[in-house]
Amino acid sequence: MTEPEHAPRGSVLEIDARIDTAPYPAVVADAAGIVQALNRAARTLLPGVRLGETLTASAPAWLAESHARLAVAAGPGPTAQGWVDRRSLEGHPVRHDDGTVTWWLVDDTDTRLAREALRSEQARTAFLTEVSTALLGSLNLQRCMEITVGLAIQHLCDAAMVIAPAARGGRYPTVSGVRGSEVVHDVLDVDVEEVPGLPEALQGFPPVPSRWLDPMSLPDWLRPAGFGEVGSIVVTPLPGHGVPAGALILVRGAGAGEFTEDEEVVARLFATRAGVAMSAARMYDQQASITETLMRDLLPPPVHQLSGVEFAARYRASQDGERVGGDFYDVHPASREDEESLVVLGDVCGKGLDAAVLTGKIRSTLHALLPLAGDHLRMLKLLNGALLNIHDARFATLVLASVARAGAGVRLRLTCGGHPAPLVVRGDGSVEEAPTRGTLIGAMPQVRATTAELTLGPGETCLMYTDGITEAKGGPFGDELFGERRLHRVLGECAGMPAEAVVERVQMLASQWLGRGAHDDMAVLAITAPRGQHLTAVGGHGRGRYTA
Amino acid sequence: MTAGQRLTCTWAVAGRRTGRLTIVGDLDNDHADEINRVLVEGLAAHPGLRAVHLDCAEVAFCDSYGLAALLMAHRHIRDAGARLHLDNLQPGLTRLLELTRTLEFLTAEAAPSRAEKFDT
Repeated sequence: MTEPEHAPRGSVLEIDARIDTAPYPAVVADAAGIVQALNRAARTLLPGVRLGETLTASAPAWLAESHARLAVAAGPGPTAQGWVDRRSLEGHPVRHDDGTVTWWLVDDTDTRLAREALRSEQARTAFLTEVSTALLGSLNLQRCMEITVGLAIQHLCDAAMVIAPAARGGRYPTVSGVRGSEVVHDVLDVDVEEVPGLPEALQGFPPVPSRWLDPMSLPDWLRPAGFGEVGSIVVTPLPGHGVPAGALILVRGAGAGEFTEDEEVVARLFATRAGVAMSAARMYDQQASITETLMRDLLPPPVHQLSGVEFAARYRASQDGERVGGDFYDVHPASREDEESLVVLGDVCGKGLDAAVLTGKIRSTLHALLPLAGDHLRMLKLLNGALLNIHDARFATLVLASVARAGAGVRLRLTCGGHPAPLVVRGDGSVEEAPTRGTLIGAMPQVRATTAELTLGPGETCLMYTDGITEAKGGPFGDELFGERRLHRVLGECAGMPAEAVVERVQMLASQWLGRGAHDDMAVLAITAPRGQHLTAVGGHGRGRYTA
Repeated sequence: MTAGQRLTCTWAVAGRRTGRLTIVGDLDNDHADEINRVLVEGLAAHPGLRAVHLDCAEVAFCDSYGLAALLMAHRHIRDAGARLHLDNLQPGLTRLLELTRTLEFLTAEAAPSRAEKFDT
């Protein structure tokens, strides 16, 4: 490239025609910063720059500063970078022997815009990835709302609020936050109609775009506490999975500037992700509360002493964390002292919710059949008819026990429907199986069963249990069943113990046997004739009292 | 029990009238459905069977879910017009079937469904 010819220092240079017509602007300045020459392109680009004047006085500041730095530095010198109008320019200095410098100015607007677009695209992707990761981590609605507000004030605005659709009572749960302080949970009793676009955003349908609000007309409840003048405010709906998740309100301070088009796109993508996470959390919440409601009714009842007979029961569901399962028991107390109470303990085939639902059905059916408890076989047949279905062969096994006080002892009528027979622990530590046997319930059209009648003396116990106890797999090598023989031996050691102690001991030993192994539901229920003396002073007809 | 042994079922036909399902493993909550899957396929592929033998020599364990699977197998076999035979019952399984009074029912002569009245 040919250099322009230079006149002596201080004078203004003539410029070579080949340089003059070059497509890139060229500015020649001496060490003092005085402009010595300009080519045609430079005159068009920088009309303010005059020959003989300093760069500081007439050229863009970035060029003048770069030139000044170049004068004190050695070597070829760094390129300069700056804007003229809306064009980005890169200045390449070329030093000459006489101390002057030619600045060749190259337009890099497109490159720079592309680079900036890439950078902001990367930042956006990083932000949205962070959003997804943070929101996916929680199925708790409150937590999702907190995360949404937190991310918004960190990346998008100075203050933010999430309004969830109205809860019962027409009040709106909200979470709001201002940058630099903690987020705040609140429940607002407000009229959302005061804010244009908010009712539609909360309804979720029809979909509405983000909406800019006039900062002057904001209701007070929307004005972030401790926040200065509001510059701009936008309401964005949070779309959910068919369920509206609420609305997101983003606020910027007076000095922060409005949202750019890009920022609005990011805000919308952010709102979509937040909405999906929040509606998933909301649905999970609803499911959990439905399950909770259903379960509450299926929980085994507390059991205690009734009409002079001790009862005690323990239950452990197969999956820790689940509280109901396939085993169940119920104690229906007699309405009068001299009548029989009915005890039911059973096991529904399978585990988990399916089993729990069938359990509930059996318990309600038996409750309704209570007036027929005098005839166990009839009760089992009616229950069997109610449970038979064509879809599957789910069945239950159970034991019915009618229990009444008889003198110092307890009279029992026991009937098994396909269930392991109850065990009776006598005063001398011997253990016998109640002689009852019957068909399982709910799978076959015919039911047959035999009823055993027996009496417990004071201190003697009848134990009803489910096969989760005898089939507990564990022991020293982890693969042996607890088994009936072991259960007999354990019970033999429980002679004379109160009902509570017996169930506690059986449950504990079976659990120890299991160690950490998987197990089925386990239930045990003990019926014990109290050992205490009968305090007859109360009189022969009353209920009487027993000491422990 | 969740740590049960894997269950394998093998279907075979002897002559034109007899099917045989050999069961090896644990009939429990996690595996018992397998017998009905194999059985239903086998019955569909061989219509007209008069007897189906379940060979239980290698059934190590059976819980209530396993029993439900056997009851379901009984339904499928009866609906196909055949009779169920339980072969080589081991003591544990025999005891479970006796306790629940299902042994007799499972292996009874196939009665026409119409004649079967619900005993209520």
